[in-house]
Amino acid sequence: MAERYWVGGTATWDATAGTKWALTSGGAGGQAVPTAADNVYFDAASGAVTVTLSGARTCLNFSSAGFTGTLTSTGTIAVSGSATFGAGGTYSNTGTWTFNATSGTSNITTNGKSLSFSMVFNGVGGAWQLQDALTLGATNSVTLTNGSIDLNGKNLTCGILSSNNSNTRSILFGIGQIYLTGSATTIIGMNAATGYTTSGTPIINCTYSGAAGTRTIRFGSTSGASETNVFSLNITAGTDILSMSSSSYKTVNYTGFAGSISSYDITLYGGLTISSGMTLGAASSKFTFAATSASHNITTNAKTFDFPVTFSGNGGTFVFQDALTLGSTRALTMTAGTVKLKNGVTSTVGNFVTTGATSKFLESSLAASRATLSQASGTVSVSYLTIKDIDAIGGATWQAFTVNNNVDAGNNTGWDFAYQLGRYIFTRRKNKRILL
Amino acid sequence: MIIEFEITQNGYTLRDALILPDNHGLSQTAIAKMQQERFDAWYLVVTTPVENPNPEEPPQE
Repeated sequence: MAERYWVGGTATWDATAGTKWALTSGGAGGQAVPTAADNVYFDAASGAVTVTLSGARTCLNFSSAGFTGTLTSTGTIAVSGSATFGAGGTYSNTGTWTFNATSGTSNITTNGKSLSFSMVFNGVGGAWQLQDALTLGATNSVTLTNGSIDLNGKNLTCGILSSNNSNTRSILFGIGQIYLTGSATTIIGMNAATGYTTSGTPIINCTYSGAAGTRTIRFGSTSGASETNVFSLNITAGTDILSMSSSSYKTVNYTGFAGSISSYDITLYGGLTISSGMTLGAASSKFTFAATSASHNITTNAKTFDFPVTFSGNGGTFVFQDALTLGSTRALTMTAGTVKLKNGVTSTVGNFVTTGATSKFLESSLAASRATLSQASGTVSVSYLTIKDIDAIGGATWQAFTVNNNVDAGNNTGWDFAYQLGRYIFTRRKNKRILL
Repeated sequence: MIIEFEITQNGYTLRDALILPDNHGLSQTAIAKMQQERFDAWYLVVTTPVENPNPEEPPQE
């Protein structure tokens, strides 16, 4: 390992050594071009110069502490250790910086500078820890291919987050959060989530506030999403189109978003908040609430859900904060879990359905205060459902026969719990059920 | 020394750190100003819409 201090003035950092590199700060030039085993320094003695990275450059640790010049690029650089960007420098690179350490913990320090280049973290066994907030431009990406990024309780801001592979990799959030400012492109590309783990409170905020194009978000659309590795999403702004389908998330909060979304097949392991200004399109693809523990709130803000909704989280509780209105042809399906409809208001479904032999619970959000559930027509025939504080209305017939493993837990109206033996018979001749 | 800080304004929270020499000699007021400047610069980044110059085709769903 050797030290390499830039003393080359305004010049190109390329494969030609010349007199650009010194062993000491402000020392005599003439040292070899840095390799992946050398520490690189741009410092005060380097001067207020412009250095252009060209080709595929390498170094061990990189530091521009004290540097007052400009670092720009037509090439790429691979940093095998830590990187410190000095507050006095200007960084207008277009090339990608790759961090490829394979052992130990490397630090990323930016001293409040916004960087306009993309970063790739790709080292099997590598670990990178933010020492302060990391901010990249809205068209710049962070790609995690291998290794672990530790936000260390800081913000990571960039345009795009990409980690579409099956390698062992992780993002340690702690109390840190990711902010994505990108637009009109895939701002989260994690279609394959196999091998991805996370820790802390994983929250990603999507903050683009314009109207252009479609922001695409994918997590686990091809593999690997689970209750333990999903993140929460806050869509805080924008009047554009969101494409989030075939993916899994924890909690999704659209507060501040006034654009549209029209395709679902979304699995949530948390809650959901719909914003009053957004547009929910009609679709046959569904929202599935799959959390298997804890209580999760759902706020519809009076938006009609013209798509199917399924509750499948055995052990999860899903509490509506306001009335639910499904499209007239859309089903609310319960396969597991507890659904608490908002008390004192009427929730309307196209079809209320239960499936499977797992116990499930339908209640009001406030004990002893009924919630009203309305279905316009047809026969609702539920099973393995415990019902409490629910007023069933509308043109539908509500059958919750106890012989079908339903339980009348009290304060219900409109339900028929009592299966009347002998009410139906089968004719021997036609094996047809008739009503006596 | 590392001075970690958190500023929340207008619904946005910056979690950041100032990394200073141990003998920085800065007053609390000066440090608070630096922290606010960090927030202001970051807030501008996350709230100013930047159009992608090379948008991709939206996926077929």
